[in-house]
Amino acid sequence: MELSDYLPILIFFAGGLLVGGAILSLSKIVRPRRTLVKELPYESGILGGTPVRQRFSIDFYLTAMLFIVFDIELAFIYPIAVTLRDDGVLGLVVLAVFVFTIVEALAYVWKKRALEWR
Amino acid sequence: MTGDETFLVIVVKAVVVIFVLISAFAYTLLWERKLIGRFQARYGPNRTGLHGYMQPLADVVKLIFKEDFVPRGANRFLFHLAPMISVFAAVAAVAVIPFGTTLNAFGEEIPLVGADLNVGVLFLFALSGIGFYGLILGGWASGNKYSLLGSARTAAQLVSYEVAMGLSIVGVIMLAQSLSLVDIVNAQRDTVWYILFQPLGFLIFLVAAVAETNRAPFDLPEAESELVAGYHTEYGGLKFAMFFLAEYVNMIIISALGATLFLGGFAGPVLPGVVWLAIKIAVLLFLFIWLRATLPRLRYDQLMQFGWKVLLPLATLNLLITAVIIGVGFQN
Repeated sequence: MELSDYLPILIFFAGGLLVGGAILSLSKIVRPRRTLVKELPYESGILGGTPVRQRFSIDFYLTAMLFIVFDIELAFIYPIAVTLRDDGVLGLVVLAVFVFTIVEALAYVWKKRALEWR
Repeated sequence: MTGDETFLVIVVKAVVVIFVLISAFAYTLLWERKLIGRFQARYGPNRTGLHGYMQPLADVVKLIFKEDFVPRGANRFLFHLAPMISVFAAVAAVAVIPFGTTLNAFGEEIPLVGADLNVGVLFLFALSGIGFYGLILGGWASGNKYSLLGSARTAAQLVSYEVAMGLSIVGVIMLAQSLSLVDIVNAQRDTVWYILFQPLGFLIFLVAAVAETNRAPFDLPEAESELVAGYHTEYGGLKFAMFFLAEYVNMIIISALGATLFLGGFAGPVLPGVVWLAIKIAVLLFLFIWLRATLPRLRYDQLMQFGWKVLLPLATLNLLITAVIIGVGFQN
């Protein structure tokens, strides 16, 4: 795998940007003029007044942190998975130890009730 | 490998694939509306053109001429950037989906895949990660309480199910010994479809896929009845269409990924590979629509706990069982 093999990826990236850009500029060109009254954010007809960007429930932050931990562990499992058939029992033991740390972490956060949604 | 392809060939391939993808989006949307109509004992759209098949065009024309405004208090730059990110991530993801072996044209063997990356699976996950930003920024930049709640929910839901989905396909990677989608399809052509070896993995993948694409019964980020469409409440006209496009293209991509990982991808007898892949994608898309027509929406705490307490342990179990069987029984 050489760096030049990523050229098609770049072209597809350009394609994706082109599609998005085309739609955006099309709506810029053709849309009717905007009117000021409609600029209020939608709140089911109630007049807005309270600040919009309020604080989130702590659960969202907890979920984000849990995700980072588990996703990184996931990224480490993929290389072991690719070579597992060549590594045989040794690979299996390594993988088992690694998965054990994940299960242990999951059990811990479960016990700490971090998975509950309050 | 794609190293010796000419620049022109790649560009032509990209244009054709993206064009087909966008058309597939339009007709997936139409078929969904028709099918949902049938599920609810009505006809669905059938007036525009022959049997309603011009409906997508009519929708686009309508959306083009919609007033396109930015709400007061919105961050204008991010408000425009967000749908752009969503569309970009969704469309670019098609690059690594293989849709056939090779095509003999102009005296050259052209591999029918945008780019055969040796990290294809990771590439898809990375792009879906970028796609989240579109939804989150869109909700945040709108300056609307519903949108902000919608995008916070989206973020939490997507990351929760991303982990389960990532783990559910590790079994496939172990069997195929590769992260390249082309290799995974070829490995299935030599043996059988991996759904036979990985039934549990496929099931977890499907459930996570429904949640990843914000589809019913996991469509809480845009729950109409409580959040008024969630992150795209304030979006109208073509910018709304862009979020829609991204959502449906993501559905198609994730169906293609499921078909490639578990159902043999483009492999199949008699018919050409593209047709097989299209059939498998269509079956999975039908499943998505069927689920939407059948199941009621979950409650948010149920949704989060299901992801972490049911899917994640199940996926880990599936991973361990597969690892033991392969490590002991199927060594090279």
